[in-house]
Amino acid sequence: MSLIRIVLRYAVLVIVASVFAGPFLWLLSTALKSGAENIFQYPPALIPREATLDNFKRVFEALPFLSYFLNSALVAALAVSCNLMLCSLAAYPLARMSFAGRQGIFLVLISTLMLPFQLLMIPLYTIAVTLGLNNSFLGLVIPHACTAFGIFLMRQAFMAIPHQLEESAHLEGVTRLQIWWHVLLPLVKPTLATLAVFTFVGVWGDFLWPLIIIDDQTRYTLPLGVNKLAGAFGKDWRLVAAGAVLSIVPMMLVFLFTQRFFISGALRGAVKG
Amino acid sequence: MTSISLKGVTQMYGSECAIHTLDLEIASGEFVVFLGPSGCGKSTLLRMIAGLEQVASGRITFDEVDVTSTPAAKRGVAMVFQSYALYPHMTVSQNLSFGLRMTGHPRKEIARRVERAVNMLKLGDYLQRKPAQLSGGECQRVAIGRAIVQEPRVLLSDEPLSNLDAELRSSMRVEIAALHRELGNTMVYVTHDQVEAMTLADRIVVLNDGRIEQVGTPDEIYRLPKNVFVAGFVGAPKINMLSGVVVAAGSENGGLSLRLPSIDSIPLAPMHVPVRSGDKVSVGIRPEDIAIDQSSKLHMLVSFVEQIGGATNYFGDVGKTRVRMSVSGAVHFSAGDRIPVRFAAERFHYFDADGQRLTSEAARA
Repeated sequence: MSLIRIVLRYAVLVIVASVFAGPFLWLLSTALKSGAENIFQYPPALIPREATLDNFKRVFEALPFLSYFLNSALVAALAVSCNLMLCSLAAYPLARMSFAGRQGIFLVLISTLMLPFQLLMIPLYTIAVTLGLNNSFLGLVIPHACTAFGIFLMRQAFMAIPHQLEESAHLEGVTRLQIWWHVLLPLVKPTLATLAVFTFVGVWGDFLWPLIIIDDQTRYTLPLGVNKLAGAFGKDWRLVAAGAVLSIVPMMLVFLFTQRFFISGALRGAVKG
Repeated sequence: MTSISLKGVTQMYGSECAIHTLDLEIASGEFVVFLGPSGCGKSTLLRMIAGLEQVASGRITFDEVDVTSTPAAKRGVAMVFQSYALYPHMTVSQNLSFGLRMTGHPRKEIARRVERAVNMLKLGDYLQRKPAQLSGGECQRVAIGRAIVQEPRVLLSDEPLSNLDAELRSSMRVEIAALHRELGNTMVYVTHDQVEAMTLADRIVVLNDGRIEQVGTPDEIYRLPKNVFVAGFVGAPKINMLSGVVVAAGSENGGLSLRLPSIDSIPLAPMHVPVRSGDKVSVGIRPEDIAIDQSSKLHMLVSFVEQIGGATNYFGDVGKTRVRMSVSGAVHFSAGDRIPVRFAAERFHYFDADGQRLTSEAARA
């Protein structure tokens, strides 16, 4: 490859990376700037003159941020677990069993991907309230517990596994549930990791549904906490930025630790789809 | 040991008939090989016996008990797949014991069965390895071991050696034959490789287009092919098929010759002729039944020579008819040579216009 091509390629990569990483770096820079520094100066300065963690400390003093963090972690853990379990269970018959209406059910499921959450918000709220799920963690988890996207992803992954593996187990007298658990799930770990990351990111960053379903501040998740921070300290964007950084970091850590699986799993879903 | 009976079995895929009404009896302890070209229905038939595919109509019985609707897991069959179908995330040991563990067999029983299979197939060195760390031959041995630990009534194999190289295939053939002798259970084996079929089978079932063309011992299939398809499919190099008219040719050789469009007449052997003067027939002659004979008037113009070690195959033309000849020993001739050849008329296979074998009895009838 010629030098010019390499330089061009890296130039494009740097530009694209800047576009994606820029807002976060700006947020981080704001969170690290002290009160003496003007965060609206022109041209903007990305590197703080005197970096400080004081803003993070103040966030914890101003609001029960640790509690919001634990609430978010609990809801995310429950939602991810439920989504992995239920989506893979639902995907298994759609991928591996032949029954009347299989294709139709799959099409209906897939078509729900076209419906925006805003359309479902009100009926979902009505159902949640009727079931007494408002102001509860269960109410936060249920909309994420089994998603059409998850079912689609898992179905594609199961379809890529050779039928002979299942037939072989079947001839050995292994039940379908055992095959699902012992044979198929271990072979789709990359896809499970992908779905886990997608679900985690979705739940962790979800603002609208918790805003609708939760009134009790002790049940607040991080996005609601950051929103409250913005309301209470609207004039001090350093605090808001520090809260936002705190809420983003766990998401980044999850992605960092699972990216190996995530990337191969995401590609698998795309190619087989 | 279990006998298998298939009565009027058919299989349909949509409007396509994959298996036409088919009857077959497999004796207890017999090693039967389904042989045929790709797409002839041999794997489908095997999967129907396994219970992995439902039959459209007909009955399958094991030891006179109808198993047509019995689920695969309850039939007491085990299967070795072409692709090995080993669980990639499990070690060899876990692969062998998986089915037994899942069906709740006692630990001691599992250990006994696994140990027996391990000893039989010499798998001791690989027990803690995963399939990705094994060679093709080792994988196939594990797959066979996994089938053996089930102690099945019937052991089914779907082209188990197809993915192996020639040398490994040859050694695995010997191992499978030894295994059958040791286990003594009924085995049904699918292959498109005639050498595998001929060396392993007690009986061969030749299939074509979802129909049984012939059932017989390897010797019967080779020496007495029932029709043109079987004659052409079994044997390498392929049998020579010559179409011509039987003519009276004086008193020599019983007075009959085969007149071919492009070759001089070939005298027919008097004691082996199921035809009469005027019959239009196809005559099959195996390449090894054509010999070099300096006194012969027929000559073969060699176009290609194939040296395969113990024998030499010559491909060429006698008149305008393409002929294959197989001679034991080393190469004596090369492309462009004219070789005097003699057709062993007493070894001719006669087929009628429909491609069915003509026997002396049939001709006289």
